[in-house]
Amino acid sequence: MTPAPPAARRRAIVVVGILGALIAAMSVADMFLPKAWDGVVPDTYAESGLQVRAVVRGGPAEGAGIRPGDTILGIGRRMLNTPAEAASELGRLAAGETVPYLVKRGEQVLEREVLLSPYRLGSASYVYYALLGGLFFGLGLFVYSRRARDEAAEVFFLLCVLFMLFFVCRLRPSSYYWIDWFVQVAGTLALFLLGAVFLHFFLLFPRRKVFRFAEARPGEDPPAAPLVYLQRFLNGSPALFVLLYTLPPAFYALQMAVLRRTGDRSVLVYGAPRANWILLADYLVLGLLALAHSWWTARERTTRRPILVLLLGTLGGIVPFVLFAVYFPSLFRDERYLAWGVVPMALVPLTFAYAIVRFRLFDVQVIVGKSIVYAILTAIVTGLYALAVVAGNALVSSRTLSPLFAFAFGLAVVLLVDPLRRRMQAVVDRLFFRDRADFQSAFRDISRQVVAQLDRGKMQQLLTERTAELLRLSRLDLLTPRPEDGALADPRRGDVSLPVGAALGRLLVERDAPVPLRDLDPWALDAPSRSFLKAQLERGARVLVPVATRGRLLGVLAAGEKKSEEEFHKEDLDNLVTIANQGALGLEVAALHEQLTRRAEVERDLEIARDIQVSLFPRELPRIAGIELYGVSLPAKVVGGDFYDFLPVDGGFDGRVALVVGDVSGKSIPASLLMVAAKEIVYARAMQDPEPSTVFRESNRRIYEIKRRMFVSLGYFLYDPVQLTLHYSIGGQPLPLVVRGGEAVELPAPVSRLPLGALRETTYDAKTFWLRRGDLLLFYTDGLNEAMSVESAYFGDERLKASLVRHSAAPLPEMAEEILEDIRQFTFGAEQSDDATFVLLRVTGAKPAPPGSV
Amino acid sequence: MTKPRVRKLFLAVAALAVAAGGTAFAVLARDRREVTTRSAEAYRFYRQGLENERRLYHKDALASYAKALELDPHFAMATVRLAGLLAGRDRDRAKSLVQCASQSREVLNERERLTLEIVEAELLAGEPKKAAERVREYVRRFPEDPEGYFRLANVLAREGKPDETLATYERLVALDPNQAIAYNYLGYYFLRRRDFVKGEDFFKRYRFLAPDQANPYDSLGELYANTGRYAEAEEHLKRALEIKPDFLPAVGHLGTVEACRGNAEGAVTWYRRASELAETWKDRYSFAGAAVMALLDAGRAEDALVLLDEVAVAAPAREGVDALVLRWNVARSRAIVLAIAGRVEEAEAELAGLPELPPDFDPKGKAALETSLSGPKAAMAVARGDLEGAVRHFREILATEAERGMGDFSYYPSIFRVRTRLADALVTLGRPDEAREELRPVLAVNPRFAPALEVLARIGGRSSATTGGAGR
Repeated sequence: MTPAPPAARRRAIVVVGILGALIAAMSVADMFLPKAWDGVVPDTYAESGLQVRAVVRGGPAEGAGIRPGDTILGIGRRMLNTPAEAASELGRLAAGETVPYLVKRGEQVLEREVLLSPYRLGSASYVYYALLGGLFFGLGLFVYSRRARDEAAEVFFLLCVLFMLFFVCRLRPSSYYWIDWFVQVAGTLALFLLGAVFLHFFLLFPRRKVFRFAEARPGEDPPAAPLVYLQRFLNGSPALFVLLYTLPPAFYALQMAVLRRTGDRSVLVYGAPRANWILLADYLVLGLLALAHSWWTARERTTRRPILVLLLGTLGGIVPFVLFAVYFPSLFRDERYLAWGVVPMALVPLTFAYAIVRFRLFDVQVIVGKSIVYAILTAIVTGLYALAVVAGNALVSSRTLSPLFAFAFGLAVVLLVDPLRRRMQAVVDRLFFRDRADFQSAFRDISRQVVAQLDRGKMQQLLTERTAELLRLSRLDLLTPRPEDGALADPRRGDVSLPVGAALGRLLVERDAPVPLRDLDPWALDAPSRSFLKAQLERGARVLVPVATRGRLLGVLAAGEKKSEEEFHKEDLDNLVTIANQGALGLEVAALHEQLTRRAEVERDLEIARDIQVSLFPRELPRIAGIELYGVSLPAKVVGGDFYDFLPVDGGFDGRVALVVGDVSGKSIPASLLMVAAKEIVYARAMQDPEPSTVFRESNRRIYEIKRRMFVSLGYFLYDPVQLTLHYSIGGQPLPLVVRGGEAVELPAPVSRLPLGALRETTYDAKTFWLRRGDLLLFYTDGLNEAMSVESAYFGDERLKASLVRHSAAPLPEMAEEILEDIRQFTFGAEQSDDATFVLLRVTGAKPAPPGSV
Repeated sequence: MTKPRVRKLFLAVAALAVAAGGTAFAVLARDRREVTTRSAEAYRFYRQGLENERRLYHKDALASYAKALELDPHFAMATVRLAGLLAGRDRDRAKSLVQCASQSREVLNERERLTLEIVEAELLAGEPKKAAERVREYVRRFPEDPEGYFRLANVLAREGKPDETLATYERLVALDPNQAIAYNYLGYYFLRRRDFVKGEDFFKRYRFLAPDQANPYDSLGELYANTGRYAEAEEHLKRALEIKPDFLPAVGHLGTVEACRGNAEGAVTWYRRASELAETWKDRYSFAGAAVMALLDAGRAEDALVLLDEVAVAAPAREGVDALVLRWNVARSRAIVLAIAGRVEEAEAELAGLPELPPDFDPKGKAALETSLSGPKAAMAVARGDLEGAVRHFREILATEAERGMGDFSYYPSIFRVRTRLADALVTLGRPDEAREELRPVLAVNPRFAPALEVLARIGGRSSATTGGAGR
């Protein structure tokens, strides 16, 4: 894509286009206005008098014997000096009148009777010129409307406008009316500019021409300074274009000055200086050479083909024009072959139109509906069929052959129609649709595979290598976040990266469109972006395309230049955007896939952890004389941080037994790990010295060292079957409830109740509770009383107490189930927010019961 | 503003616009009417007179101006125009008319006053220089008025300034390329300079602009007649007579055509008819002279003598110098006719009887009259068989003509005939080369001049003599 022209210039071009169209329309309309017309084409540039530049073939003047080169002295008994006077005189006359003309031919003065015609159109050739001009204008307008921001398209539009003015205004049969002068001047201006714009266009198209004949090569002497200057001059320096556009008016001024001095009108061809015609031809030839050079130097087959088509079409149009419409009249003063020069010019717009449809020239995509093409084909074939039948019939009737021949002939033609249509269709398919279909199919294939591919590496390969190949790019890199720091980098070459938060990344997300690197102002970016940009440029990247979704930059595609060395056209960028979007989708899918995989792994690990954790709970409740026990632990996640256990501190369950209920802050794996660790620490301490305050103090110190800011709330209850007491310390746990006399109350609270691990050094005290037969105790973690309803209300101590009392008569397993049921009803399906663990202890004073289950 | 107010305002503006437009038109129309008269009808006749004058229909122009004066006796410009036309015929009446016009001086505009002053200087005061000065003043004051250029061209022609005359006409046609009569003057200018191509060019322009007038056809006919394009000449001259049957010059030029063709009898017929149609004795005498020459060519010397005498008798009474000049001319013509008729003694007697010219006679006029005797002397020499003498006298005539710049084309191609007769004498004397040289200028103008071709046939060297034809 060539750089966008400034807005002011674009507006000027639009104005030129509108003016050109108006003038051309005026010219064409004027040709069909019924007015008295004599078929004389006056020389607009004659210094005095009314000189006949040409007479329209078949027009009134030709019929009256007026010839080119004559000077009209008078019309209708009035002497004239200027075309304006002639126009005024003709204005007074009416079509159909026979009017005397006084004509000077050489030394002779002749009087001729001219029958004025109501039409100004002398021959069909003007219709052709007008159609040709219209074709050029339509083509230019179409391209410009699609590619208004492309300099080459802009120059092409200007070129088409000038071609239109040249054909419609310069080559028209004209007369004396002011409008003729007006359009002739417009045509002459077109003549001035046409060649220059033509050459200008082919210096920009298909790519900006760069001459490299004076470049320093390593190990060689530097080229001569004049060559360097010449190369710089030719490579689109402003001076080149100034020269290009100044020469024609300069030639005109010079030639007209000579004409004024010498009076030699032979230097005029079609009323304009011969030098300008020759200059026009030279410019056209140079333009052709520039195009031929583009073809010769194009490396890619896909680039060479459209250029070759254009070259052939332009050659076919321009060469006859230069020969028959410029050089012949200029050098031999022979204008008979003008039509031979002009008629083939139709090849130029037709070839461009073909190249646009066929090769998306100017990056303009024209969808030619297959149905339309096939309908046209069928119409053509049907026409041929009808023609053949008519011809066959004519042949039969002229030679008086058997009437059966007509029938047989018709039948044969009917049978041939379909094969013929199919053959033609195949040709059309090959010409217009196959390449496009192949491309679209390949593109769709890549898009589909990118999304379907879950392997990042393979997806990266698809996105880069195959896309680069399909889009004919020298390279295409996909930069994705680096695992270690999230910076965008090519996993294959991670040395160049765009750090997270860099300005360029934000810019890419904001634009959400391809960004040509040369359009970026490095000094508007931060330093990391600048260095990234520099490195990318050095690597040959030309365009960066954000791979983003929902405002999140997932990666960046860095596209190198096209192998054809053409500029990036809109369609290329659209394709890159499509690929980037597909890439974003693919990356997300891949990420999701990875996440799911990871989660599955974690879940598997959690399952294992849960199994391990479950194995840490007592498999069987110990049988202890005088009490019944039942314990429940419900982790909020797969694994939880709560635990309970019974430690036979005297070596067996017939002695003292420590009931431990713990709750580790946090949840899941970390909590469960700490739980395991805490449990082991407590066990170890308890085995050394079962005194609760000692166990707490020692365990606190150890847990603090394991993990800061993670605590363990712990209840440690040492049951003495002999004294029927509970000697206990509690850190961070709710106080156990005891139901005695149909009322649930809390056990007395020790003074220090800090959770273990909160402070490095702290002391804990212990309390002793004297049990009675029939006491029911509930040891629990906060997950039980803090169970939350959907309205975020806690179950609370009172509800817990009530539930405990209500179900106190039931056997322990049923009681546990009823309490849980009460809680479930309260929470009404709300997700369990915390691990919940409790142990029920009923004092029976009897022999130990058989082991219960957990 | 309410609607009725807007309507009133609009009407007021419209009324003002109409009033202003009307006033402007009236002022412009007044300025454009270049003459002062109280009668629109008189003005119409005046315009008609001008048109007739431009067409060289002098009789019709006279009638138009007279009609205009009838309708408005104080119409100064009609009076002046009428005087101009009558000046050549009745000078006294012309003077009287100018005096009448002078009385209206006070009411005339500047343009009219200047015109009146020009005519007063020419006719009343007889001061051509003053008239020329006033003409120049007129052109200075009214550079856009073609009338001034016509007058100036006349003045310059009279002053013998042909190039300035040409330039004036060119300025005139540049100013208004539709001044038809200007092309006639330009055509004659080039005709006299033997540039027949340019002459034809201008005559054709004249014909293009005035195809309804007889004069353009006559001018072209005259050119064609004198350059040997007889069919075209005849066609044009007859077309002129179709347009205006009494157009005298066309009749005369038809005689020229016949004379150049070598059809002397035919020439006599046309010259005689022209002479009969002529309104003035001068014209009658001129055409009769041509008829006489044609009769001599036809070998009818006696008839020529009779015709000459008839015209001479019909001459109006003259006195003083005019009578003397007439006497000389008649005698000279008679001497030529008598000599050609073989009556040499009578011819000699005719010349011997010429009255003496008085000492105060204009020297130029005297020289011209004396030189004009070379004609009869040459005729007598031929009659006597003195061909050397004849050659000498013929050359005297040609030398005189050379001094006069080869003169106008007269109705009878007299100069060509002199050269032809000279060549004839030289052939008889056995000097064909000299004869051929004498014929060359004749054939250069008119390669089909029959008498010259006859002499050439006698020489037998036609091819070399016909080189350098006059164009077509």
